[in-house]
Amino acid sequence: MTVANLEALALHRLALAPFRADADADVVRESLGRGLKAGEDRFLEFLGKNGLDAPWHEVLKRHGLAATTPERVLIALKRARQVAAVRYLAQRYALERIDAAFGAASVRYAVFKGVHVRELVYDDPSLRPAGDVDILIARSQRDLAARTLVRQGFALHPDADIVSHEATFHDRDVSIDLHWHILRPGRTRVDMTDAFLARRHRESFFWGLDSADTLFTLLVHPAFAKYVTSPYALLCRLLDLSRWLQSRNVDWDKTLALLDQAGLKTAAWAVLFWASWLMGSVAPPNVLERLEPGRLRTRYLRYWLERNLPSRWLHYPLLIQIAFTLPLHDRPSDALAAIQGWLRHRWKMRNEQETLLAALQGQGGFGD
Amino acid sequence: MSSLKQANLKIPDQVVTRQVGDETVLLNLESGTYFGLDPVGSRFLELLQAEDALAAVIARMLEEFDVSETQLETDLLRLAEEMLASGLLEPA
Repeated sequence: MTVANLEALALHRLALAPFRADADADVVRESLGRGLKAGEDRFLEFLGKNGLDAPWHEVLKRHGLAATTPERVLIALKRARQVAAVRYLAQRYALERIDAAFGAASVRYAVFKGVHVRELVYDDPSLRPAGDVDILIARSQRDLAARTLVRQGFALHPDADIVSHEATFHDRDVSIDLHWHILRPGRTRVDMTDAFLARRHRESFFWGLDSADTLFTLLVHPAFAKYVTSPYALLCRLLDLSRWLQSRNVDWDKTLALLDQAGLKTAAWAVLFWASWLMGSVAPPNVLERLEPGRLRTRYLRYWLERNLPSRWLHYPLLIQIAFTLPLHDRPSDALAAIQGWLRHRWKMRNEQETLLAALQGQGGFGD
Repeated sequence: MSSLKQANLKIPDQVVTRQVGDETVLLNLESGTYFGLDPVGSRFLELLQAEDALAAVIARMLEEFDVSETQLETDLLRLAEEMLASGLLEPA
């Protein structure tokens, strides 16, 4: 492993150290000191890019370390926390509107990923910044849900590359990602979306996924959409996972059964391995053992993860998709199905986009 | 300024607030304008929602903070004017 790469991963560990289950004020103080030694601006930028600046402000205050933190650093973190709170307010208000509108239109939906998880595992959910609100619906209700969002003032921003499974809508600073598949079609051995929606759970002001389904998503989504370790994966997602495992009553048998059903135990292993590598043990050891693929594949994937190759080869996404994400499927037949799903998507994407746009004709809900 | 002191002010319906530590952020959902209040400003906002007029809020805060009446009045009236101009407060 190169020195530069070791140093980069040290920054990952420092950024996450205050959130380990055993972290006390000394750990936070030491992590801050070492982080700032790497360069004040660099450390602040790293925290910001990974969605950890607002949680860092909270943790410094909670441990009584604000007075000994350099003023410039504290001001930057406090500013980040205020911006996160403002963004949270906007997203929360939008979600309350959408909940009412979807309820009136009989759209069965569930919020998932960051916006869902933060309400359940953070004392103050506004600390966990989220770029967008991810909403899962059934494919059969896609056009109705899209029309309902447009009536609520959201504008569709078409993107052919993702239209097989999701579409993005904006209203001012709030972005909604409407998904009709939990992952790109073909990624899971069977389509899980309808079952997930059937098990949805009412949270304080919206519908969210069931507990085991949420953990499934936390474990597999970063594997394929974010290449596990790449900068897209954002460390706040590992914090979500770690907090979920620390604070929730996890039914591992149920989650493992879902992963097995989807053919994605290896993907979950990779994400758990990465989380444990950076944050210490986050799950019972026997869980990693139960998820681990064969010895050869484990060695191969560990080589990728420990050297953070998805980050180093980020400019070659096709290489990562072929050499790294395909082996995250449990069986060769699952990987083949993922390739077929991708090819089918390339074939159909123009048609999918036209169908979605046609459903919104006359509603005026198109963005730039 | 003196007429403002007698005014009753409230947070408009389109403005949402959230406590952030010992501070408060306000967001106007229509304009996207947001504002951060320090602990003194947060207390001002809290009292504004409980008291009838700005004058009563100032009187109450004079009891709580070690500050001259002139200084407190000037600061709070300026804050109220700024928040009115940003649409984060409105006459009740």
